[in-house]
Amino acid sequence: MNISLAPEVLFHLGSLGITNAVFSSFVIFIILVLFVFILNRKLSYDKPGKLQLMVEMIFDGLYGLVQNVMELKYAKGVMSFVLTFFVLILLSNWFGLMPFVPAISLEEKESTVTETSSTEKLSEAESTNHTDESIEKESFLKCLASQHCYLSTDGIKEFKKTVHVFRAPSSDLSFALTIAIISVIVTNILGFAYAGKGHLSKFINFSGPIPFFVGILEIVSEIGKLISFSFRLFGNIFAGEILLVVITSISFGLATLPFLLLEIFVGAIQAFVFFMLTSVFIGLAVTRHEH
Amino acid sequence: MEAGLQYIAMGLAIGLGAIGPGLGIGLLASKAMEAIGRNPDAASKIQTQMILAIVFAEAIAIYALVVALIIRFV
Repeated sequence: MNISLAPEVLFHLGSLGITNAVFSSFVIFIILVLFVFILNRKLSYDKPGKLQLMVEMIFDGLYGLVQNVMELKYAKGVMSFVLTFFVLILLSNWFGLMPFVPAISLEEKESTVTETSSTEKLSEAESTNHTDESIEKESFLKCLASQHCYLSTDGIKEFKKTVHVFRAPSSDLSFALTIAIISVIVTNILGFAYAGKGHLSKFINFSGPIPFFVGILEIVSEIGKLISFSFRLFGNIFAGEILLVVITSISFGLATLPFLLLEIFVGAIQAFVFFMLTSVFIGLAVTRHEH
Repeated sequence: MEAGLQYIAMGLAIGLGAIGPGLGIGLLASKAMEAIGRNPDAASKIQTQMILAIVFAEAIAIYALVVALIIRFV
C-alpha cells in the first residue's frame, strides 16, 4: 500500500519541488477555467440552458445562506470570496475520487537492500558489537518484516517506490492550512475594515479585568479556528483516501461502491462547511454590535 | 515490538477519541429532531444549524483520527 502523509515530489522547478498535490491543483485550475468558458458561451437571460440553470440553482441556494448572516452590501463582495473557496474545495475533494488518480504513477528504479539500508547498518554498528554479517541479516529481516522488501532469485530486493502523479490537493495538509490561513486573515481584515474599533475591542479591551482576559481568549480561539479549519478538511479527505485504499485492498468487485458514495458525500459536505463557517465568521466580524 | 505498539496506539487513539464526538452528535441530532417535531415549519432552518453544529463536533473526532494516522505513518 502506498500511503504517505506528505505528498511526493514529482519534479523540480529550479529549487522548488512540485508535488503531486500541487500538480493536481494546476489540473483543477485548468478544469475550472474550461468550465467557465463553456458556461459563458451560452449565457442567456430569457432562455437559460440546463448548465446555466444548475449553476444558478446552486448559486442562489448558497447566496441565500450568506445573506442570512450579513447585510446585503457586505454579502455581495463576500459571496464571490467564499464561493471561490466552495468551488475550489469541492473540486479538490472530488478530484481524489477520479478513476485515473491511483492508476497513473511513476516508478523509481529498483534497488537492492544493501545499497539503501547503509544508514541502518551504520547506526547498528555504533550501538552494538555485531559482526558485519549479522548486521546485514538484521537489516534484511527488518526490511522483509515491514514488507518493504521481497525475496527473489537475485537476492532480497526492495519494492519499487511508486509515486502517483495525481493526488487530491485537499489531502495535502499544506493546501488545507493555506486556505485556512487565508480565511482567518481575510475575516480579520474585513472586520477591521468594516467594524474598525468594534472588531479591535473584541480582542484588546481594557475596560476591566474580565473583558481583558476574554480578549486574550478570543485571540487564542482565532488560532483554534485556524487549526480546526485545516484539520477538518485535511483529516476528512486524507482519511477518506486511506479508507478507499484499505477497502479496495481487502475486497473486490462493487464492494467499494458504498465507500465511494460516502466519499462523494463527505467531499461535498466539507466544501459546504468551509463555505458556511467562513461566511458565518465574516458575518460575525463585520456586524456592528450596538449596545 | 515497536510496530506492534504502534498498532495498539493507533487503535486506542481513534477508538477512545471517537467516543466523545459520537455522544455529542447523538445529543445534537436528538435535540434537533425534537425541535423539528415541535415546529415543522422551521425544519430547514433547524437543519442548517444542526449540520453546522455537527461539523464542529465531528472535527474533534477528526483530530483523533489525524493523531492515529500520524502514529502509524510518520
